Amino acid sequence: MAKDDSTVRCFQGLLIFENVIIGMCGIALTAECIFFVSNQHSLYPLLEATDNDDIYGAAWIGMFVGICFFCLSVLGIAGIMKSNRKLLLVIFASLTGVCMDPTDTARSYTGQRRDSENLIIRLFLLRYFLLMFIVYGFEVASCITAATQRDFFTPNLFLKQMLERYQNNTPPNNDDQWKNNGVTKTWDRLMLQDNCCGVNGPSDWQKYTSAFRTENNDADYPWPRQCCVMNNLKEPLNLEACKLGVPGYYHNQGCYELISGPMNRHAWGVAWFGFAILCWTFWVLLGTMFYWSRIEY
Amino acid sequence: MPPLWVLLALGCLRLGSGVNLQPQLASVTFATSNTLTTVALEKPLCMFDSPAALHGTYEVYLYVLVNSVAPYSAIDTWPGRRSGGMIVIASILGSLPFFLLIGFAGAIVLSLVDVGSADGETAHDSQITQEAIPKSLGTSEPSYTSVNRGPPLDRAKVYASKLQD
Repeated sequence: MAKDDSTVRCFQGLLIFENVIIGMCGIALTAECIFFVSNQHSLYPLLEATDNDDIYGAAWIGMFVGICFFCLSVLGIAGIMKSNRKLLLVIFASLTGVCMDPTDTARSYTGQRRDSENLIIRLFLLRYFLLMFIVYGFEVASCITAATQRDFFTPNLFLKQMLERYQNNTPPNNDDQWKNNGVTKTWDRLMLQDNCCGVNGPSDWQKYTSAFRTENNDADYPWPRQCCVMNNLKEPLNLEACKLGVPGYYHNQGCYELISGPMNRHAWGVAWFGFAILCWTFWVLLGTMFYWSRIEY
Repeated sequence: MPPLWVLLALGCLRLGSGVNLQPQLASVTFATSNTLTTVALEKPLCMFDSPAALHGTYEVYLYVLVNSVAPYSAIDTWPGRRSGGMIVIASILGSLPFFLLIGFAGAIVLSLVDVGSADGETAHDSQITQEAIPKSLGTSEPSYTSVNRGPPLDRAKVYASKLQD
């Protein structure tokens, strides 16, 4: 008898601990997704222009899923503790600072126990399962989306988009104009701030045709002015040397690493952390389902 | 010199018919590690077939044309192959919800089976519990839901002994 009680108590404590972990991980997932969505590196226009912005969608889903996991873990803890009156009592007493006489509490609580209470607890946990399944499905979708979309981030993707849209002032419609503006502003900021030029290097502007090339002739603008080394006044240090390609007066390295680095971290962060949470939640749900099936009614 | 063919045109002056000048590079270092289209030339000394003397300063434009530009629409943006991490995530996460549903179905079956098999004993068990507990005040026995499925006879013995106390 005592051994059974302690086993049950141990199992309940384990389930409560696991639900606490889920709650904390949910908060962490929400915080991580808010960090990504708030667009720290302002690279979103590049993805928007290629219609490849699903990693942001995955981050949005992850944000709400994190909050839902936290709320559901509280629900799960409440459901398990409802079936353990003493534990509930101890928590309540410690929270309110009230010192209660154990004999009084035993009389007031245990005398009111009915078998139908078990049924209520079972329905409570059933509701918990239903909501958990829904949230679980959304998080699976978010993780798979983030992991799949990350594979599309190749240098050629950004190269083609840059050549097509950078300083393209003759778009066919407003949507393209919006995208062109976004791409132009992002590349200008990227090249000025991070001292790089093009995706693979300034030779991108030479090897391929581009919208930039149709607007600017090759002699004056072999590559954009933002590729030149700037002085403190944001003017080229030596314009002629930059145009000629004298080493030291223009930026020779490409910007691809600076684009793909944050995006990969974004995608892997959402995908793998979500994966870890889902693996943990899987076992918690199995344990809670087993506990649920053993409640009499 | 990199293998590009150079068309040298002198702008701002009419091109003479007998011009076949070869430009000389200012320095070899200017030709390497740059793009294909920038060269630095020595100050050219031009000969023209017109005997008229030139007074003042003139601008000379040099156009170097390379005939090997690819259209950007020819760039292939297909990623090629899927990464291993993506396959792991998709396959494992795709199968976990099914295992969850199977586990849930199993839990339902388990609870129904237990209800079916332990009907009489359960009623007996809970009845004893309800009668005994109001009288066992003052004990520090924990009050759980009846999760244990111990044999009812043992519980009857335990509570009977408590009643006698």
